[in-house]
Amino acid sequence: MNCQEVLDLMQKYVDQEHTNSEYAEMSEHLHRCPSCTAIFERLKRLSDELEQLPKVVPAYSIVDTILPKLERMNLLYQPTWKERFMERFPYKTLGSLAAGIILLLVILNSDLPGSMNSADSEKSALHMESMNRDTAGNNLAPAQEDGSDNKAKVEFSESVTESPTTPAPTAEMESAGETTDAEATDSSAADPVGEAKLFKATSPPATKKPTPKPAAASTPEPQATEAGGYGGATVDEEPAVQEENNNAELAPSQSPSAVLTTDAEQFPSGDGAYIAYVRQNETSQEVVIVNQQFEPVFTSFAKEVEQILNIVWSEESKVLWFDTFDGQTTRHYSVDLVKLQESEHVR
Amino acid sequence: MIEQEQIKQAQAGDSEALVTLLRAIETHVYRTAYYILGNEQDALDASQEALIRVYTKINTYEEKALFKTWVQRIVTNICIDKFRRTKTTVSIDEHNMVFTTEHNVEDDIISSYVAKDIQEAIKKLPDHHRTVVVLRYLQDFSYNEIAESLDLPLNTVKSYLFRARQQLYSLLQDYQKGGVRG
Repeated sequence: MNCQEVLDLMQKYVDQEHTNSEYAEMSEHLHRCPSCTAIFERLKRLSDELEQLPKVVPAYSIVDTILPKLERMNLLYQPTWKERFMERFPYKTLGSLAAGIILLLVILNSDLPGSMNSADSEKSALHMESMNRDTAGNNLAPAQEDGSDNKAKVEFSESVTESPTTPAPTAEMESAGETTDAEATDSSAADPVGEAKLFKATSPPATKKPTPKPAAASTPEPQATEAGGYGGATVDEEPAVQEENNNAELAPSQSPSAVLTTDAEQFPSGDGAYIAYVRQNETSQEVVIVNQQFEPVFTSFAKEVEQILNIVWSEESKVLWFDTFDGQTTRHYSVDLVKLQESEHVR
Repeated sequence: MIEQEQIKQAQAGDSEALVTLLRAIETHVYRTAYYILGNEQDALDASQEALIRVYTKINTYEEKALFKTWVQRIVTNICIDKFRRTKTTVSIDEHNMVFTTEHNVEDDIISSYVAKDIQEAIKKLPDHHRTVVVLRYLQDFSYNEIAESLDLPLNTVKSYLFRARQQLYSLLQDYQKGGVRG
């Protein structure tokens, strides 16, 4: 190996790109070649100094300074609605969500004994008690194996909140315990089996004071009124559903929540805080956004168009996107749920 | 380390993921720009331009390349264009084998160079040599990563790096001999 070849190996060595055999060859040469050794020392020193160059950082966040510009550009670089939609709701989620909605509609339109109604809360409470007795005996997977109404509701709550199925029995036990004995809830979450036993022990008093607490909807465990009728519905879902049901029966044509019993397709936001749907008027359409209590939060300007389509929520559920199509032109709109403002976007 | 998943989200139109991505690369972009351009203001300008280009071109990134080399390609291109518009480099004889000539033992007495001298010397390198040095020493890139970033053959990368170090050594000797400590 001549000096020129060794020079090449030296470069590789300082760049940590050498192999073991190359290192051995180089070392062997350096042992008997003082001039190459001198060059090697200089090269190594220079390379070490270069490694030590200050790792400079910007004095301020460059991204922050360009954010306003990027936000303006963002309007021009919107992804297609399909991309946004499929990213938010993969097929799996869509399937269970659709199933949940259909089942919910079935429940709301039927007169099953489990349906909650303020007029016969006593009956419901009794029903709840009996349901809970059933589930207490089979606390590992009770909700899904009870009545069809129970099953339907559980699936709906899963699809919306993606909560695991196992908390359902615990929630039921908790709520039953709360109705009858407030202290019982403290230990419930940690020990569902123990709670089931506790419930059995305390269930007789439930029949003695069957009326659910009116404030149950706002308590930390509102399933107290929920448990019997629907199984393991989520905290957020329960008061809304109850209200909806009442409204639907009392004044179905005037209540905004009546939409739930129509065929209008619903678009729940990712965080579950809102649901958007299209309201068909005589000559126009508009996008209506309701909150969890099914109170209208925002209604878009009426559009005299053939179709409102591509309704998609932003990831943070703060912006709703939709398009309109009048037979020729597609227009793009967004609704800012924070500012409650509607804007049209040119793509 | 930037997650491939995050890049995919950004490409799918998740602007939050894209901004997070920009924050993750910001310092690397600036560091390269700073050492290629040699001053803070130009580096900030070039970094802004590079980050905006990453933002607008994210969909053209393909997974077959490393994301960091793709980003460095963008920033080095911007810097070289910018540098060419504003400055001219001093040409140095690339074939001068300075490591092997004229330097005797007394050169080696001085144990270390001054960092400022090194930065001055880097500024004097031709564009591509300087860029290769920056990617190697400020971004810790391998030969392959440098080749990918600059779209150069591997052997060219090696020879640029070799020559750049020779030139740096020569320049630093001059600084020390002349007592030039800028």
